[in-house]
Amino acid sequence: MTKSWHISRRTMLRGVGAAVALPWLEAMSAAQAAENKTGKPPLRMVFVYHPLGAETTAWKGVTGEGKEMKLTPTLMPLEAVKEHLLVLDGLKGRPHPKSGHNRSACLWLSSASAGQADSWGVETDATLDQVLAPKLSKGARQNSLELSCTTIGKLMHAMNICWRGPGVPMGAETSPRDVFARMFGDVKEDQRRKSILDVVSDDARQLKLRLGRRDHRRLDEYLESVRSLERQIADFEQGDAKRPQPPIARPGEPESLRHHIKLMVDLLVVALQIDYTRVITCALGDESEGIKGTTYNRTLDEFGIDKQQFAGKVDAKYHDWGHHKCSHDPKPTLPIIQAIDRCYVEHFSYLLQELLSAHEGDGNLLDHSIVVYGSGNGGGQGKGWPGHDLRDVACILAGKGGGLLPKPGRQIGYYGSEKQEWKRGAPLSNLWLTLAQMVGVERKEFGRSTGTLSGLG
Amino acid sequence: MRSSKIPSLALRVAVLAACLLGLATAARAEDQLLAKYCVACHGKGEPEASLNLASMRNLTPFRRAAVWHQVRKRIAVGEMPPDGETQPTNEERKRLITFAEDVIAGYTLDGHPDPGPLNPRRLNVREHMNAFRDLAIPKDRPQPRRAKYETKKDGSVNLYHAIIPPPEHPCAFVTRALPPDTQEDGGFDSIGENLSIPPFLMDKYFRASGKLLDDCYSLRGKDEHGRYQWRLRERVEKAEKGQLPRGVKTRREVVVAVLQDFASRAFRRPVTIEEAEKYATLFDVGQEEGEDFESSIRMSLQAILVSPRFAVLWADDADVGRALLPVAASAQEATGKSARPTATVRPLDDYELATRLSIFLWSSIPDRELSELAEQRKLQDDAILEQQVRRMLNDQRITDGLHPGFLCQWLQLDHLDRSAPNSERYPEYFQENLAELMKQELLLFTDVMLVEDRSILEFIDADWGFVCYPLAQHYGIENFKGKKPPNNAAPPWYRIKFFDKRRGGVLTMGKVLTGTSQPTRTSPVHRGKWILETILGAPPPPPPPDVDNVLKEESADGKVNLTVPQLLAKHRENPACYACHQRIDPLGLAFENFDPTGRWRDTDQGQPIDARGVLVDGAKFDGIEGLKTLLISRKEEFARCFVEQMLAYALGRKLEFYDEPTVTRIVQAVAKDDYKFSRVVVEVAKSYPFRHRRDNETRNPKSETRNKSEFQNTNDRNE
Repeated sequence: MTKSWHISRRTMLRGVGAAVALPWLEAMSAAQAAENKTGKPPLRMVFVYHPLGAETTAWKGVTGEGKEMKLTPTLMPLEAVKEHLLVLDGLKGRPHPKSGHNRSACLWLSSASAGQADSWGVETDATLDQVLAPKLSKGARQNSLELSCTTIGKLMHAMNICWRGPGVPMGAETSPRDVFARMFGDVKEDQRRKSILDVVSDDARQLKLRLGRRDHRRLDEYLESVRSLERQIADFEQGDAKRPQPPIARPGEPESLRHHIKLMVDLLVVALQIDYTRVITCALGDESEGIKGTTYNRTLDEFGIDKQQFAGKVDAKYHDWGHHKCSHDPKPTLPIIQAIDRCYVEHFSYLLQELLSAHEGDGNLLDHSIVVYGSGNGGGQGKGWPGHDLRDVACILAGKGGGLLPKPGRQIGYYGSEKQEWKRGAPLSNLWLTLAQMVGVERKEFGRSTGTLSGLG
Repeated sequence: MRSSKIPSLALRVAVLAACLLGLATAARAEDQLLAKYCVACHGKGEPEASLNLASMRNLTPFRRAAVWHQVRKRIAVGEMPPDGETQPTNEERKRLITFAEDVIAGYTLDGHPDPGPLNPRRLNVREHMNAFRDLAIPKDRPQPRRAKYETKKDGSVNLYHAIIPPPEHPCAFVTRALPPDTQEDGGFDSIGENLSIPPFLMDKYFRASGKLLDDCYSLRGKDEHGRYQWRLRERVEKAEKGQLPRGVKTRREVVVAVLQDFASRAFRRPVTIEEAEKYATLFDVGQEEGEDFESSIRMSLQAILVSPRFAVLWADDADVGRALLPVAASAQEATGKSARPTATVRPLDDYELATRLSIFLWSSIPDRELSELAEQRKLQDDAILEQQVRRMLNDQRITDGLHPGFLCQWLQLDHLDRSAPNSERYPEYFQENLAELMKQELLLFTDVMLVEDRSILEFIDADWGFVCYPLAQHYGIENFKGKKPPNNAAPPWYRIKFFDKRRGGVLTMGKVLTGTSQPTRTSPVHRGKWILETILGAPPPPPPPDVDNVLKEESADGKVNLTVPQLLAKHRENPACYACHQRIDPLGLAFENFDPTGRWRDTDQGQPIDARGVLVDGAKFDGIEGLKTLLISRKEEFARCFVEQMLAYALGRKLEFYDEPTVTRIVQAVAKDDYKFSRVVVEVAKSYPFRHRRDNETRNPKSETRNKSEFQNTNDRNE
């Protein structure tokens, strides 16, 4: 046995060397070479998720172009960066699964087509970020980074906006500390981990061999997880170039929702700056947040909103305002939901400003990025409440994407001229398809797409 | 010999043919019924709900039984055929149902129920935490529980070793280091399908195990005299400095022995010296690099703690040499179709069974006694198995295992705990610390059910319960003897007797009543849903998308201040809501005598409360007392629901149609033993699917998932 272990370990190491390490190195040098040739910084994509849907008049009232652009009250925090925005109006979310809108977070970036239901009856599929990551992140340290600013959820379809495939969520980092450690790990600890990984990945391979053709999904996932950590350690070994000095201090524990989002946004910008990865998703909240009996009701305090201005209604909870009270009698609670939306938009604005101030090449990080901000829930046309409807989902693109979006600073409507009201508007999946084709991923359709969106380029 | 065999063979053929013919004619009659009432929609072409009832004969026995299970479910509740279509007569309905039950019962594997798959899954966070505790901390002795809940001299209950106040778990850091487990509504955290391994989990495994090893050497591991209390630390120290055992020449051999023992516990099956050597190579690496003994062996220990053999359950199939013969489904001959020739069913081996028991009852790894019984191959014996289950139920580890894992999750405590009433309208709820005390009431009650091994029917109604001073005041308990405590953080508890059915059992506990209410009003819908899910095992489907599912606070003529029942009655006028809410609302309305904080009331908004109700099947009841009486009179229904939930928790998967015979058998055994709690646990542990596994050698492990999705309705109108 001792002998067989040594043999298998050697073979394994050889195997790993051949299968993982080498293409990795090649890929890296290739990307760097390409970069050096064109002298162009790589394209980054960031997806920011606004949970539970936003009040939609905010997206409709935007007029004008460039400096003349007039924003709605909810979008006012974006005033400083408005020239970098494409406000998209008239997009439709993918229909919610049978189990309700609180399972729809998983559908935002996948718009999965019918007939792919996972074991819970929700039609999940690989999300756009995961489809783009292998191409965009070639040469970066990790394929993608998934962040979430909430730790209160329990429902997998509500917490995860990022999926590897049907029924398999990517999970998301909620601890700013851990994200920091992932980017700026400790050399000694990494060397120890590397030796340990060699041993345990061999364990996984042996178990898999024994299982044969029986269900080995979990072991594949385990091995994938090992590889993810191996990659991280491998490029630490490349030397100091890949192990930069942290430009920010080690983050502490989040104190509030606002603090949590800020810490995550800071880390997000750093991750792009040091080329840790080029594809990042960040969920600002959980889709099931505030739903009775499902999770936890956020209070206005957590959003940092002064409750005095809504005296008398302060005891109602997020979900009630944002969703129920509002969707049926919007007048009294509309200001509250707008204040919450504005809180999220403020952080989006903060992200954009941070990207703007990060110099890179002949411009800044935002010039080389496409930031998608949005939600999978919409509201009825003209009625303006967020909630159970799918029309008019919140959607903003920001950044020039290295020239892919040459003319930001506009609002674009996609209503079309269908006679029946419910038929109007373009599915969100058309945007995903457009973005995929834009960055050169050959796809003829994406989820439930019916075509591409015009007017972006 | 030969001549006598021929006629018998001929006879057999004849009998078989007759059987086949009989079955075929029977099938034809049912087919006619299907053709008459169902096939118009569920036929060839594009059948409704992708359910094609026209070509059932070509299906495998598994699929056929699955389809008939669906058919029976819809027909039994009158959901199908839908209103407006020709309805079968009652006799025809009954006939279809009987036939469906025969088909389902006829689906067996080698004469036993299909045990279902036991797919590998990772440990959930609770299990991870408990396993860390059992690996690192205690001496390996049984830890019998001493909680007795006796009444002390002053009338209050002795809370020694009770479920409250909960001591801090020594490995609670695991819940912070690992991402939280996800689960579905009312589901359990042991369901394997939910326990996937995201790419960043390895990083977290390193963090969690690193913290455990840190703690072994830090102050946390020491007692007040500065001695190391953690067993793991003690062992490492002994390996480093202790005397070499006789016959052992080098320190390294001691290290290997320590690792072998540690790995055998962590991996839940014996590990050979050769396998232990593999982890010892890491010790060597450390030593070569000049690390001290402690850091070197730490690497080996950490490897064991992050290994898939520790973190993934049911993947370590050591008995690979065992002959696994494909089994044939019994219904195969009848259809002439091959029945999933790649499925193999085998009993769990001794170590798997020990692990399954410890995961089920302790949410942890087996202790020394279980492992030894497994080694001696005694665990498969029914009597020993039962004795072990009873021992484990009386062990301290149950308070981190079955109690939070099954009892609390079954009652959805987590969900209940997340709602609170309006602080302006109900200030006393916050002033008196009622949220916490109500939770403690529920924990105490459920724990006593376990400790005293009481009848599970007492979950619905019991004439005893626990209150403390603030709760007694809130509930309006007369003749309460306890004194006002100095503060409400940890008041003494009293065991009292209830003289009517207004209190007693979990249904009427403050936590349940508050947890299923809106901040300012009661919610009969949530209360009804909770009853359907936890007590009756018939969860209602979620409301259809895009419906107006909020009660309008105003009626059309502008009259406000409608009572909740009036609001609901209006809501039920909508035919889209009626079908389900006629099942949900009456159950919830029975609780109208309890306000949103669980206090008794006789009027709401100045109007007397009418808590009378009629169930869908016509059974009438009056208020909560009537509902409790009704539920108790249908104890089999509740027992069935309870057994189903515990079986699902124990098996780590959703129940399927093929589990029905097992559930029925357990319910019968439980009824014979006065519905004792321990009987349910023992019977679940002794059941066939708990002790067997079906290993599917499928090309696509998702194939079973597909089956289910065929019945999914998709609502695409919007895109």
